[in-house]
Amino acid sequence: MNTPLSVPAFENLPNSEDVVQISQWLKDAGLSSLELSNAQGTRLRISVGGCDIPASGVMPHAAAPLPIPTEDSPSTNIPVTAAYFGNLLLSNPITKEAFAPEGSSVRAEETVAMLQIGELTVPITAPQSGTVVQVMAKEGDLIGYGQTILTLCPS
Amino acid sequence: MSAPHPFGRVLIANRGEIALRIQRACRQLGLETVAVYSEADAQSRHVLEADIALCIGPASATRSYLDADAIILAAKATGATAIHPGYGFLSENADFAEAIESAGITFIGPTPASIRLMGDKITAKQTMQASGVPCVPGSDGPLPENAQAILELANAVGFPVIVKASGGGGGRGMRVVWSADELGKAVSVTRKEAQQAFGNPTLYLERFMQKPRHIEIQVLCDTHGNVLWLGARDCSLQRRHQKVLEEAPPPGIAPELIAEIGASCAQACRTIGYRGAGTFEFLYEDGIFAFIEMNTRLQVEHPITEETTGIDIVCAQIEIAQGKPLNIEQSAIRTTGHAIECRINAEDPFSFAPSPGRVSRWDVPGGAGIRLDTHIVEGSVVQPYYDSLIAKVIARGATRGEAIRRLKVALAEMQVETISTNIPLHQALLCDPDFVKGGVDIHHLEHWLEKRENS
Repeated sequence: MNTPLSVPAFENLPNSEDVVQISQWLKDAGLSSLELSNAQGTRLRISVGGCDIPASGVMPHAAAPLPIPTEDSPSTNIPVTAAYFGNLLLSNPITKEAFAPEGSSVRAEETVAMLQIGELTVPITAPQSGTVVQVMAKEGDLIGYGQTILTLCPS
Repeated sequence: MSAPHPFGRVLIANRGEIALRIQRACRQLGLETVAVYSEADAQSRHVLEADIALCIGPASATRSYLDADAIILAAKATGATAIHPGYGFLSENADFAEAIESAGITFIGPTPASIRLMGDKITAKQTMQASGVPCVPGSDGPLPENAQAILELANAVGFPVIVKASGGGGGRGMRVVWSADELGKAVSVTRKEAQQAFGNPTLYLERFMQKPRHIEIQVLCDTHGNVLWLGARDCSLQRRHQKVLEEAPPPGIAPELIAEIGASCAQACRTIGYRGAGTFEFLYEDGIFAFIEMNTRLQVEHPITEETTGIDIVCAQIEIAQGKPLNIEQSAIRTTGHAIECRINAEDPFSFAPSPGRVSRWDVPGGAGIRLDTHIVEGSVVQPYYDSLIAKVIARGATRGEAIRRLKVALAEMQVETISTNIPLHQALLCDPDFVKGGVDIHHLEHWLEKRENS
């Protein structure tokens, strides 16, 4: 039951016209972004320009370093919280690969966990790049809105 | 329509005192409870006491208590098999009830069809007339476009008339017209407002009753054809269409007259195949009852009916949803004594400005005949995002006089700091000679407040 109904095998990236069409569909549906990944590790992310989402192209690229961490800034870990509720998935349901285990590096906007409610899965993304310090919840836990999933040491 | 089935875990799609009230009823029936809540209510009593609590969104009600999709998903995520909507929020949203039933979950309330039928004021009135429930003389349907035809209708009904939006409610989208020469303009302005506010320009008109009382009948219907009416309540003390104090039974109205109206409400329930708890609201003036609308949900003031009939309405709602038959017959229902409810709001007793904040002192009343329905404890924070109702003080007595005396003592005992409450307003009202005499009309409180301001 965990396998999604259909996972498109996108060997080729969509052309720019397709991307424009997909963005329009997302916008019409009131969605901010779409992310697909296949078993080969290819990842496609389309974000519709919003105020809190950096406008990004087809491929994820290095996020603009918004807060520039310097050597003398205090190392404060930031919480990554759930923007919805559901049962926690710490690994990719298809590849079984852990999204962001403790000690791993994640980039801004990268999926660090997912929430599952029935057939729906909602990604939890890193607000900025960094290293995962501590995972605060267990696989399968029922997570509420705003609950901290893990803490991140910004890089 | 899904057949009612037994369930073991109930999701309460509400907050505040009513969420706690429903939680208690579930516990008494041996059911588990799920509290879904907004971030602002994380420390609320029913959340802390729930078997399962799940935060579903931020403080904003549109993203929490009004988010139908999230609530249904939360039921799935927590294994709840029934949803109680309480009052307000999504309780009279037919689409919500329908989505719940399509998801295979039991909606503790009427069928979506009943909610829809009563949500449209014109179809509601037509249905009531067909079932023999007395209605205000009026247009009996949508107003025509033609000005002359509208005038003829208004003349037949008799001035003053009130022009209302079919999709309106809660005091919005209506206009009183005192004479024929004001009619044309009033209709066009109200039509424009109705289009803007409710997306539906349909209007109807009724005779405007000048000094009516607000009288309502509580009903309870199971899925086996049993229909009960549980006496009447008088909710005439209102400010800006919001009820402030309610009592049962209505003082000074002959029980035989109420029984006649109650029986017609029960007949209407049979006609439409109503399920669960509901309330028929009437205006009453000079011995005449006129149906205004039916509320297809539990009401804030349900405790005064519970206190005078001995029937637990919330438990009954749940058992009806479980498919159980009501185990009492109409002939066995007796209303005894008198009950009065004061709605305690966190607001300034003079300006009515909301007064949110931390409750640093919460001394509650007690003793014979006193009931307190509240979610507040000492240290609770009254949130600014929602309704300001923080408690309901209900007094029961063998007579109306005894209920008033008990209520006065209870309100004097109740000490709340540092937020402001409307307790002083209730104390003043209980000493008002007109209220003590009984039977004031729906404009009484507004006039009383005007006089207070000017003195």
